[in-house]
Amino acid sequence: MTLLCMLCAILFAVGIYGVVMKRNLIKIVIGISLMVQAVALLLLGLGYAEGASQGIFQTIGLITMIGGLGVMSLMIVTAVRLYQKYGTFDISEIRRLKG
Amino acid sequence: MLVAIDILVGLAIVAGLIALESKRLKNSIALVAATGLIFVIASFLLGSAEVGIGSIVVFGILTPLLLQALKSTTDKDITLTPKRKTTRNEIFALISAAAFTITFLIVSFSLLEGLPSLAPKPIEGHIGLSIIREVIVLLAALAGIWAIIRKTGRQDK
Amino acid sequence: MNSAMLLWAVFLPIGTGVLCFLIPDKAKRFREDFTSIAALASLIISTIVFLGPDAHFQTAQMKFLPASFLDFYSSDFNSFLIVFVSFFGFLVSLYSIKYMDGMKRLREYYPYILITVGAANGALLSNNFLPFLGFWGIILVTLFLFTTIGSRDASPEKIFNAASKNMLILGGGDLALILGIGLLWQLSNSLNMSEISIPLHGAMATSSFILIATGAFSKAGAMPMHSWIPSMSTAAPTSTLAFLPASLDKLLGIYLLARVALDFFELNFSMNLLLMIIGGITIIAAVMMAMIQHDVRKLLSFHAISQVGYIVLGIGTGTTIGIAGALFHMLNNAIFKSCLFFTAGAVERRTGTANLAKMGGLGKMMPLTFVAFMIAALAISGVPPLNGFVSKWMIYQGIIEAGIAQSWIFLIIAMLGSALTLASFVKVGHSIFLGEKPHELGEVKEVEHSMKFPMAVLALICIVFGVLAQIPLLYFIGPVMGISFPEIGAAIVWTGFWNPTSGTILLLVALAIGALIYLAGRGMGMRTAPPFIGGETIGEGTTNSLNRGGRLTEPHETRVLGTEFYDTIRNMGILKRAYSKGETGSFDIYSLGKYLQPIGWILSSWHNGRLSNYVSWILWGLIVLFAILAFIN
Repeated sequence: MTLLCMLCAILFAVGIYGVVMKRNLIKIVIGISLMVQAVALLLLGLGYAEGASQGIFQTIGLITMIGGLGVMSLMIVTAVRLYQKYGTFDISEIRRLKG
Repeated sequence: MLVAIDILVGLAIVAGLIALESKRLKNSIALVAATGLIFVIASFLLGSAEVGIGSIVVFGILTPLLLQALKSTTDKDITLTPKRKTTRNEIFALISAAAFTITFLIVSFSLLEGLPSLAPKPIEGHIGLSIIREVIVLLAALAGIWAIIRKTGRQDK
Repeated sequence: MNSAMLLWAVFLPIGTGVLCFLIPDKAKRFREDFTSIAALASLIISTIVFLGPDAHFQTAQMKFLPASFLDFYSSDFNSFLIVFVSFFGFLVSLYSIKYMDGMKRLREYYPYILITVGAANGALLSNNFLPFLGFWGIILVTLFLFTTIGSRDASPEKIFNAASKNMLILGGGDLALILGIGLLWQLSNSLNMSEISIPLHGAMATSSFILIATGAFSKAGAMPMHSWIPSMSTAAPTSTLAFLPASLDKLLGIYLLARVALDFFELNFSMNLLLMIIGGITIIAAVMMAMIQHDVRKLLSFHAISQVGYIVLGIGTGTTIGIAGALFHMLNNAIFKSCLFFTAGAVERRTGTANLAKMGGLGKMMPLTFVAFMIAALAISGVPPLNGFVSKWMIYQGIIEAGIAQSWIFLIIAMLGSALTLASFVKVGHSIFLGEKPHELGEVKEVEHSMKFPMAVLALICIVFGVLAQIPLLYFIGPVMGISFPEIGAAIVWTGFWNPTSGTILLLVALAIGALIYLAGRGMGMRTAPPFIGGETIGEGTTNSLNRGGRLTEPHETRVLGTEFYDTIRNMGILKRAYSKGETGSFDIYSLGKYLQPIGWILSSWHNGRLSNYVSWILWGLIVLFAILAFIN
């Protein structure tokens, strides 16, 4: 469990790294997907450790994944619309063009 | 048993990092799909078939969506962002991320002390599934490694 | 049965208001009728609640809500107020049919009226602080939305500024109210209003009282928290001015102030003195500002502030008659102030302007509006035998009985305020209804019946409540104060040396004698004298500057402008500086915002729009959460 915990934390940190350091909107979405996975995996691991009958963890894990899907699809659509408007996925470039 | 999951998560970390650092967005998306596959397998291994099936749906939607976004926008799939200085905000955010990870680990260790260590437990009512599980783990690991090598290989060319 | 009526009184207007949103713009007539009928139904229900015995409604334990979450309690204190709330809602919905004709966003306007009535009923009837705050907040939101609809002559920036000012000042007041209620909860361990009664000892109770009173002041518009009313007055439709700042907000704010001063806390001398000082300052400063205004709506809004001063002063006296007078004045103020705003709206509708300098001589063309205006103006100035006099008389008596050594100061302030009120209404009456009609104004007709009716009814009530002041005192105010009148004769004695009915007869007799003398003098031939214009001289300064244009002024152009009546006062030494400061907003609590600007700079430097910045904030928030989690375990 300890190792899983650490690995999930690292996966989460990788996701944050992507969100913070990458300028490409698609990369930011990827970073968020990694973070969501990390959270859901941790929940599942906890449920496993508590015993297989712990349905609440699985439910929350499922909700996390589905909610993450909603967020990410919205982000992707927004990114596409931004690309159509500004011709780039680069957020600093978009900010510059926005003025 | 849990070692398999640890390996899977480790693979997911590597795949994620490469996905983020890859120059070609198509590679990144493929690697995201790979992490999704890893996640699905891991959730089956952790005994929650619902999450596994749900995640198949999630990544089954997310990957085509990302590909579609890529297709409808960029003509040539290579992003050459010019070198730039890391800003103060970004450094601060990275420090925050590190601090968060450390705090999280400290707190979760202190909270999880009462939990049993993760010895593999038989899941009731699923006799015979353990062999399938092992096979799936191996397949997943292979698939992950294959995906990573293949993508990085193409990147090198 | 009556307890179910309480639910109806709150949720029938809210429900019909929500339904009213669904009525499309095509069915315009139906929407107007629907609103009026719903308001009338609410008035009938409120009357049933008022006439019935005290009722109590409580919700049982529900899944997520605590028991008695909705807790309505009708007592003598609030049941007469909901009658008046519904009554004003009905009058405003009638008045709006013609007044709001041709304005934008009418589809929202009518539902807001009904929702406001329902929320006001809910706030008045609530016996638990949580639903009370909820309903209280709904009224703030509808006030904001009413303001955003905007008046005919306001620019979008003006409307935006006024609406945001409303939101900030009243929102700040509500914040103070919530904090005060939180402290009160700590002190009394109860959110049930009827259970709370604690002595005002110690810093916690005092600050709780002051915070709740701040919320009440901001709603009613007493002096430190008043400035939203003048800025709203020129930006919002006049019908909403008559509805919210003139009547409903007064009723609600004073209701809360009276509850907190009479029920929740047992006030001590220093708090009473504080209330009296606030009341006195409000009376005099607001009426001084009112005198110099050129826009009739703004002038009326300053009077709306000034009259709150009397009420606060009356509650501050702490004597039975003073508080009864204050509550009666609250009712009277809502009546004549709505009537005044209605007449201002009628004039504005017919002339297309609210500027006093551009009007004149409308008395002949709009006779009913003129009469209603004069009655309400005399009533607000405290001229006997109208209702304003009775309540002010009771407040004066309360001040005398208060037994404070310096109470004569407050008495002088109150009386001076009354005189200045009359002075400024002489100015308004002259500017709008008397004097000469300016040439720019074409033919002016009287307004339609649906606009006449509210004005006439309110003016009539002004007379009835003045001449027969026993009736409202006996049925509305007396039960609140816990005074039972064995007979009406006792009520008359109780209101001091002023006997409304016989006083009226005496006044009429005096007027008749005066008329006889006038008629007798007419037969003997008259001495002609130049018109008296308040000691001012007719010269370049007093003629209509719009017409002059460098030419020699012709006789018919020497119009005496009411707007220049009190320029002498305005240019008097110290007052001149005070006025110029008042006009630039130095006394406005809203302008304190500029001292908060450094905080705004810091906050905006935090918000630099960079994703990584926000990620760090979220992460530090999570770290804090984890730390708390670890600390708890």
